[in-house]
Amino acid sequence: MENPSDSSVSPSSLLCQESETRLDEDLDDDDEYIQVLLKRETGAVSVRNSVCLVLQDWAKNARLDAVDFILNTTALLGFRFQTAYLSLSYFDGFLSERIIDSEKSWAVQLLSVACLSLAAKLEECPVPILSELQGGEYNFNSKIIQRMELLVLNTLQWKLASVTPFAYLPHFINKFCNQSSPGGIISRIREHILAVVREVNLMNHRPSAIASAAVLVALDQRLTRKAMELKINAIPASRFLDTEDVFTCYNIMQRLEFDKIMLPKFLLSPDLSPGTDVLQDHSVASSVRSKRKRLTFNDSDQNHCLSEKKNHNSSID
Amino acid sequence: MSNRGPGMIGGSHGSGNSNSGGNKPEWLQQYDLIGKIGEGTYGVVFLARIKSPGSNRGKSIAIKKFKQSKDGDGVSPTAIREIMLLREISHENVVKLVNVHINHNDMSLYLAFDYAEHDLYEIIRHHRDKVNQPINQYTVKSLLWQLLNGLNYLHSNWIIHRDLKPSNILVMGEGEEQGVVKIGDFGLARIYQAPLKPLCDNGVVVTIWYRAPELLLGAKHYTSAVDMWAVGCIFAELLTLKPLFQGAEVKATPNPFQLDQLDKIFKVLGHPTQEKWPTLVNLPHWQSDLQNIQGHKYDNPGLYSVVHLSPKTPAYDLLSKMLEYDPRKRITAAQALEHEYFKTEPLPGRNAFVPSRPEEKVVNYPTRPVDTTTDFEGTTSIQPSQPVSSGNAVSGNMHVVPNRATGATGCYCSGPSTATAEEKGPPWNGNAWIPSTAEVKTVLRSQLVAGTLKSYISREDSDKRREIPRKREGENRLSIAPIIDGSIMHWIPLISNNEA
Repeated sequence: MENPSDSSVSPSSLLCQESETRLDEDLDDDDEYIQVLLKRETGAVSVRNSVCLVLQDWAKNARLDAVDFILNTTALLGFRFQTAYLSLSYFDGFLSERIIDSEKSWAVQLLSVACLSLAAKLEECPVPILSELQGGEYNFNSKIIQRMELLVLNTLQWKLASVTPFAYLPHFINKFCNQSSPGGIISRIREHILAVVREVNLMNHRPSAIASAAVLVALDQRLTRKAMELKINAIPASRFLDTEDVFTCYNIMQRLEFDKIMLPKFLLSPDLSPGTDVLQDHSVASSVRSKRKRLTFNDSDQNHCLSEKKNHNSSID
Repeated sequence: MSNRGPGMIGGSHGSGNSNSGGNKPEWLQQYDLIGKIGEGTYGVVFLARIKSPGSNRGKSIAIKKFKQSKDGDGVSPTAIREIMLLREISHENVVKLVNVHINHNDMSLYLAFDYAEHDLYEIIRHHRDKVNQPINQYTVKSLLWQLLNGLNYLHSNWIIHRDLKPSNILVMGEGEEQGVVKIGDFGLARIYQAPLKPLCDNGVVVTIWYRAPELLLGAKHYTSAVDMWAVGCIFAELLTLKPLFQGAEVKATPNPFQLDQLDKIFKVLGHPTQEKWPTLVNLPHWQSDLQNIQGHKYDNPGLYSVVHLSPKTPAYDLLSKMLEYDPRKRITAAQALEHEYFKTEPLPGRNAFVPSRPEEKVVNYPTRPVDTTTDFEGTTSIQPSQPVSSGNAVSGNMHVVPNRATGATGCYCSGPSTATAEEKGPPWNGNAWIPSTAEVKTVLRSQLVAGTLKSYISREDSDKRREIPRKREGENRLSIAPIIDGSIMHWIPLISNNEA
């Protein structure tokens, strides 16, 4: 089987993967249910804040590589957004407990594969086989991936059932849009969420804050803090929402949106390295949209570790 | 790049690695293995006792060994779901996970549970085949109340069990918790937010006798009402010592239409009607009606005659509310706990075996048969065997409700569930390794050279493994594992966050 290569897919192409109707069907909301979710999240976050993660430059770049890998692979395999988000939250959760040494770029990729595999096992049906999740510069034996899965599971103490922002969207859209939600809002919200996960450590922000900020910024990009607070206080879940956190996320999304308008488009591709070919990037995105097939793609956008590329398609076992 | 001295290596008790000959891994050395007590598609369950001195010495533990997942699949999704679910829940009437162990050689997973000596399957069988008399009222009521109490906890945390049956309802034997019900087995537990999946794709054949009519008619989405149907069937079985709806299962994949099971239900409860169950007409098998179930004629329903209860008794009233066709009208666990039945004498108690009235006879239930010829590897034979119970010490299927109940024909919903993690968490000392750089490079090299890959790791390699310590508070520096043989860097952390 051919391995999906180092392709770059822009976040917007991901947005076409999940039909909007699915979200619409979920719109029966239930304040009580959302409050249970929020309470559960609060319990998890109080622990998280104590291990606020500061990444070094090396680790930051490694994380961006991981984000790209996870978003690309989930797009190629047609996974749900939750799967990508969960993978990243496992990734961030792992790195807030353990350290990876800068020489071991393979370890970061192995971690990405393991996190994605774990998330897919919980979210996707059918569960993909491990070899489908390969796609970075290393190709791992399935036994090695399994060991890494176990390490991740143990590090996270097997607590994989995190709440994701996507769980809140139907509720927040319903509450923040007074009557009808503007067309295309769901894809705009998703775009904001996928943009912000590149920037922030998921351990440092609540999923509810990311979700509500994304809805608010999709509706209005010029809210003042006061206006935002008014909007939040008007919804039933407000007492469980961390307004400070929502505002932080809102500002980041606002800034990212501004950057998007002001900067040349190629800088917005998931891989920020200068080698990225804009046209190629777009062609990948569009072919993913239309066919969602495996793509081969040259490695020019990966400016490191060219020595041990997996040019070999042999499966590892 | 900081090199940690030898003082940083090892020293943790979890580093046991049984590569050398028949040495037991260290985690296993804390138990005395008694024998095998159950086996199923999930794996094998063993009975063991804690060796270590202290208050837990001699305590019985059920150890569930997961069957290895297929090569190339990594850690089995079943194991992940079961463990993560068990980590999130804590309730007196739900089985307690004490520990998770990982065998490093083959990466097999072992779950250690508090051992329950009895289960409803064995209790019912004992009364039917040995005692020849019904289970006393107090015991039935206490068992049912505790089952509902555990189920109410699960349901309020958006978890559906999905495979309640007598062998999955455990009851504690002698000791402080004697006669306490424990809902067992989270085998097919599903995570919050997971898409709702039809029954078939779990690939596990579960008994159809306790399956709710909406599922039999092809409903794609579960609600907690499916568990209440099963509780109704179990309630009736506790009263009569016979399965209430003993249909013959159609064995085919995927998820065949179970005509005989529905037929058994309709014979007792009468034909469902759209009047009583408005969403009935939307169910796939009812709609397509390939086998003319709609046209069948059934005689007057007679649940009360089957269970030998007067229709006026609270017991009958509760049972009939559990066996309500329309899942939306079916009684919930919370409502059932408030039912008149539990407020009339004899009142339910914590020890289901000891009747409130001393003049009633206490039944001594037999202990679980143990096959003492099997060791953890499933090979060694030392003593003559005893029969192995068909009941499972910790088996069954749990299913997390990915959303609040939406009714059998409700919309596709994928909201997260919300089991709250109140408990401190079991003592956690599973270990895991990840491969060293050298191992990965070896793999890559052999791939490049030969185009094939050999075993990715040698015994010598794994024996040399060392751990790096967990990151400490406030430490942001990158740390590396010690250099062991001058060239091979082992990055093999050991997990030993013991809280015990």
